[in-house]
Parts: sequence; C-alpha cells; structure tokens
Amino acid sequence: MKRIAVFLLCALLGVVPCLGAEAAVPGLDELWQEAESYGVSEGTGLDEGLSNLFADGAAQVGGLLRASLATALKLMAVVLLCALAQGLRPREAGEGIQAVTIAGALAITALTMTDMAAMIGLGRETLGRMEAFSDLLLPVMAVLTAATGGISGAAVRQGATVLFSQLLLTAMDRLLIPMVYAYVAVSCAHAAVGNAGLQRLAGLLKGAATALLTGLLLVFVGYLTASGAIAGSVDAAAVKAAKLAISRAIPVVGGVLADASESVLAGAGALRGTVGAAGMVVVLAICLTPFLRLALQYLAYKVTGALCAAVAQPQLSRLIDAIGGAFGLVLGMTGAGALILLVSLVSAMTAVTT
Amino acid sequence: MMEQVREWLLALLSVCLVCALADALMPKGGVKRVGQLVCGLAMTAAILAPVVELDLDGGQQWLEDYFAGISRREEELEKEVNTGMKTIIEQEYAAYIVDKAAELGAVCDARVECRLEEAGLYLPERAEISGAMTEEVRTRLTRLLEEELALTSEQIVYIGGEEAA
Repeated sequence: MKRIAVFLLCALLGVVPCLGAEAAVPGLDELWQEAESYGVSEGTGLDEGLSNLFADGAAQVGGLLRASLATALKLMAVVLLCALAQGLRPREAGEGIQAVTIAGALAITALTMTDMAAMIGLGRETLGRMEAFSDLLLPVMAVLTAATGGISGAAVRQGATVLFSQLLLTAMDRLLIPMVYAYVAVSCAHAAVGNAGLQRLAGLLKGAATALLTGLLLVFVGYLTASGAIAGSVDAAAVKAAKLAISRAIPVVGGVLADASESVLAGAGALRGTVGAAGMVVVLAICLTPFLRLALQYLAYKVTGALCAAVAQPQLSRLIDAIGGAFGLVLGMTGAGALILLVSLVSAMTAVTT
Repeated sequence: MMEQVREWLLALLSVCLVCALADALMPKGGVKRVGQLVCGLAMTAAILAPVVELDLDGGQQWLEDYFAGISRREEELEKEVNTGMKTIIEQEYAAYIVDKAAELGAVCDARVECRLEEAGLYLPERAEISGAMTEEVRTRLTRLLEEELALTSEQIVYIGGEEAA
C-alpha cells in the first residue's frame, strides 16, 4: 500500500512539469479564445484547417461571383451604350470634344467608386483584424520560441514583424490608399481627355505603389533572414554554453537540469508547432473572404476591360482595365499584410537552435 | 516619415500637372523651348527637395529606439523563460528528494527553492521536507542531499514530527 502511494505521488509530480510548461505561457488562453472565434480550435491541424478553409471558400465563391458579374454587366451596358452613341454620331462631326467618351468615363468611374471605397475599406479592415490577432499571436510565439532556446531570434522576429506590419498599415493609410485614388482619378482623366502624359502619370503611380509594396516585403524577408541567422548563431552559442555548464555540474544536479531542459524544450517545441499552425489557419481565415471578393472583382474588371476592347472606344476599355488594376493594388496590400505574418510564423516554427 | 513621402509625392504630381498644362498652352518656337527648360528645372527641384530636408539624425534615433526595443524584449523573454524554468527545476529537485526518501522507506513531501548561478544554472538553495521520518532516515537523507545536490545541512529544513525508530 505504501509503495503504491509513493508511486502515485511520484507519477503526479512527474506530470507537474509538463502542465507547468504549458500553463506558463502568458496570453495562450486569450489566443485560443480568439482563434475559436474564427473556427480554429486547439486540436485543429494545418491540413484540417486548410481543408475547412477550402470548403468555406467554395461555399462563398458562388455568391461573390454573382455580385462581381452584376458589376461587370453594368459596366458592359455603359460601354455598349457609349459605343452605340458613338456609332450614331455623324462622320463629318470631326475631332472636337469627345462628349460620348467623357460621359462614358465619368459613368464608369461613378459606377466603380462605391465598389472602390468598399474594397479599400475591406482591405484596411482585414489588415486591422490581422494586426489585432498578431498582437495576441506574436508574443505567445516569441515566448514558445524563446523556451526552445532561441531568445534573441524570437525577440528579433517579433520586433521585425510588428515593425513591418505597422509600417504597412501606416503606408496604406497615408500613402498607398491616396495613391490608389489618385491612380483611378488620373486614369479617368486620361480616358476623358486622352492626354498621353496622364497615362504615364497613372503608370507611374501604379508602378510606385507596386514597387513600394514589393520593396517592403523584400526588405522584411531580407532583414528577417539576415537578423535571424545572426540571432540564431548567438542563441546556438548560448545553448552550447548552457549544455557545457550542465555537463560540468554535479551529476545529479546536471541530470535534473538536463531533464528539465528537455521537458521544456519538447513541450514548448510541440506547442509552438500547434500554435503556429493554428495562427496560420486563422490568418488565412481572416483573409479568405476579402481575398475572394477582391480577386473576383479584379478578374471581373480585367475580363470586362478585355471584352469591351472589341466593341467600345479604347479609352473606356483601358479605364476599366486600370480600375481593375486598382483592385489588384488593394489585393496586393492585403496580401502583403498576410504574407508578413505568415513568413514570420513559418520562420518561428522552423527556427532550430540546437 | 510617411507624411513627408506623401507631401513629396503630391508636390511632384502638382508640378507634373502644371508643367503638362503649361506645355499644352505654350506657343511653338523659342518660348516653348524656354518653357520646357523651366518645367524641367521645376521638376528636378521637386524631385530633389526631400534630399535637402533629409533628417539623418531623426532616422538614426528611430533605429536606436528600435534596437533598444528589441533588447528590452530579449530581456523580458529571458526573464519569462527563466521564471518558468525555475519552477520546473524546483519541482524536479523536489521529486528527486521525495524519490530518495521513498528509497529510504519514508513518505514525505518536499519543496525546493533555487538560485541562479553565474553560469546560468539553477542550483538548490533551500529544501523543506515535510513528513514523519525517523532520525536515522533524516540523517541518511541529509547526507545524500549534501552529496548529490550540494546542499548544506543548514539549508535542509525538516517539518513534522520524528517517527519512533
């Protein structure tokens, strides 16, 4: 009886470190609560989460496609009416003010401005939701990565991700969104008056926004890779020094310390994988509907622009194509926000310090 | 920073639009050529304006703040990991003591406090052992803990009555 009691006590004490290792992560419960609001629970793996997302996307795509088709039909109706009006114009009218083209350009812009405002709002809201979720996710991932021995790497990764996410949000609010509006306005002006300089200006604005987003992502990935490699070597040296110190300690003390390190390393490593996978699924879940809406809107405008090129004035089809490009820019901004978080998560999950 | 970029871009756009307008309105000939030269100079000035107003000190301060933030976070993470580790190591030491007491035939409970050594190791500083045990078991357990956990007899505290031998 006494032996059984001792065994049970030892078994109970043996379980405590594992429980302690999990309970010691601050913010983990709040993270799981937030993840559950996106339909991701603690047991959801990456495969299952992606499969659920695919099913959700397939269920939504029909409704969203119908909305995009309705917009495309409205645009085509405007373009066809303009083509009809242009066809009825007497041949001897000459090269005066292109009233039909101006009216068409204004009608197309007026039709798309509601969509444009809604899509920009959607992109901004999506980035805001990702930032709110990353406020919970990044500290937890940093603690778990630090527990596996990568303290410097975890701090650098969290700092860089927060910095670049905020930089993207600030750039979007103060620079990129005004640039998108300016791009649409200049494209509309070009469709109305046909000035080649305006076309170049529109191209410059679009190119600048694209280059800014690409540059931001490249700098982020480059900085994360370089600083991660430097911090990784610092962490590896620290782990090596700790192992050396343990090996020099009294055998029993060394054994206890090594056991504790192993249990923390195994527990934190497994939990890091689970939290990272869940975090990735939540980020993708946040992006799913906005991505589908923006992508379908982008495709609808591009396809409409291409179809209209056959029957209507080239300025009008180019305008529709340019507005499609503006949706593409908003899609790119949202995608950049998601990519920053995903790259950071993958980098944290694959960080090895031993 | 972002505000300055936006202002620069807006200024550049305005200069471009004014130049395009002036170019369209200017009559052909010498006037147009001079006008184009003036427009070119105005655009160059608009492009290079931020270089003149560039605040390198502000940028350096911003970078220093960022790196200081990273160092602070590193310290926080180290503290969090050490706190968690300390609890687990104390529990491991306590489990070891209970195990050793059981080998000597005593049932007890143990609580260990650790200190962080300069080498970064958590060594036991004080052990509280509660439970009834004989004087002989106490003596043997104390010797064992002195040898294996580097505890001194003053650091080992027994709580609870002695069992009759």
